[in-house]
Amino acid sequence: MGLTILACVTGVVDGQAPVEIEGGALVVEEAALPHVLNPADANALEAGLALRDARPGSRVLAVSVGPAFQEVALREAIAQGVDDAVRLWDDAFVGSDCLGTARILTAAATKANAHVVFCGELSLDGSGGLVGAQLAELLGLPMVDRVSTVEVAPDGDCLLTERRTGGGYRVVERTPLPALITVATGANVPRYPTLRSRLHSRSASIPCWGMAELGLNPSDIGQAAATLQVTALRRPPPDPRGLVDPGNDLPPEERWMMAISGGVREREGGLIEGSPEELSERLVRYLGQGSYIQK
Amino acid sequence: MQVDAEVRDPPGEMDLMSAEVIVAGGRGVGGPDGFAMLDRLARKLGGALAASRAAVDAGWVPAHRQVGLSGKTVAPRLYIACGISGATHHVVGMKDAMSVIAINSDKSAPIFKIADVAILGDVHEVIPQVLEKLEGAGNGEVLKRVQEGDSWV
Repeated sequence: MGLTILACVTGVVDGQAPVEIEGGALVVEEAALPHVLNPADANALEAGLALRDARPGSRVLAVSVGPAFQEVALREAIAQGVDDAVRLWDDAFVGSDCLGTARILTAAATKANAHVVFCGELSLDGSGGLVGAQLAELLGLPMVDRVSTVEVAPDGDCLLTERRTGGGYRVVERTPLPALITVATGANVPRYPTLRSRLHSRSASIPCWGMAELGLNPSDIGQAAATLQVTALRRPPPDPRGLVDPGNDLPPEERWMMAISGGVREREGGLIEGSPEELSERLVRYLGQGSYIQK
Repeated sequence: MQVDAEVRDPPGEMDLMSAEVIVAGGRGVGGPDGFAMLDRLARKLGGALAASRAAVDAGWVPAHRQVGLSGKTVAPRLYIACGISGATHHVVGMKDAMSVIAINSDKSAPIFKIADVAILGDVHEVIPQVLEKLEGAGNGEVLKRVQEGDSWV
């Protein structure tokens, strides 16, 4: 059986763009800044496309909540080969927070009857990382967060996901369908569109579903319903670092290495000498008392 | 939803940035056989295997395991530098480790200046004995002894 896969993507302001902030707001309107597909969403999209390719008869629908200037995300999705792309927007959506966005996506996922919903782990602009979790809650779906790989289990309608949990561990989880998966940034390498599909994506017409098409209640969406409001934007304060004096006893290239790396703290370890037997005994004791030795 | 498996990457593949323990080798390790020995030690400590530029340039270890200015910058809980002299371009990649153990047979190696535990000895003589204690039959006994015994110094 083919799966209906929903990939939720968004366009974010290009990190290379010169963004100026003054008085707690952007100097240039966001609409005038160049946008790109959110990096984590590119990985989510790739995970969705790979799942579709592995299950014949499956389809990927890309959706994006945002005004026309964020359409670039959907154009990229079309270039990479999604089967359909729909923009979700209505003038009444302006000012929606994460929860509002999740409500809009919930209506789209229900309308599309999705079996698997893919989201990026977080967007580069707001970086809330909340929409995926809120969407799973609203849809009543099990959710696996920040996965690095996804595949359909060989024995049936389950997804096997792998997640990196730090310290070199990977956890393999099994989730029944339908499910919502958020994909970690950099989890995979997005496919490179052909010139043909790239050209096609530029002229493709993208339908737009609004309040009426999605059957949403106006009191749930938009500025008035937002539980989270951005009060001001500001640049992070600079990270003050003292300049290090690397001393005169090193060659010049080593001195600049020291300077740019913030200097090296010398440590008080006295030299331990002895026979290999004594040395290894000291070492094993140190490792044991630091609880480094694994059972 | 259920957890199917929790696996740990082998030392040679573990992500260096997230590893809690890193066992690194340099020119003094002498070759791939030496690194196989360090791999065993890293496995015993649940850590990752890394190398200095000298060992990578010699072709003993793949380039993505390199720590230093032209490799990765790491800050694990424990960094064990085996047969690494401590050239500046290596040191700037690991100086923020919480504790550093250095094993080197050269008394004047600069790595000793930034080591919490500076062991003057040959890697090829010390590490096999460490492995024997950790992997040997009386492993549990050794652990008990080192954990309950006097402070290590």
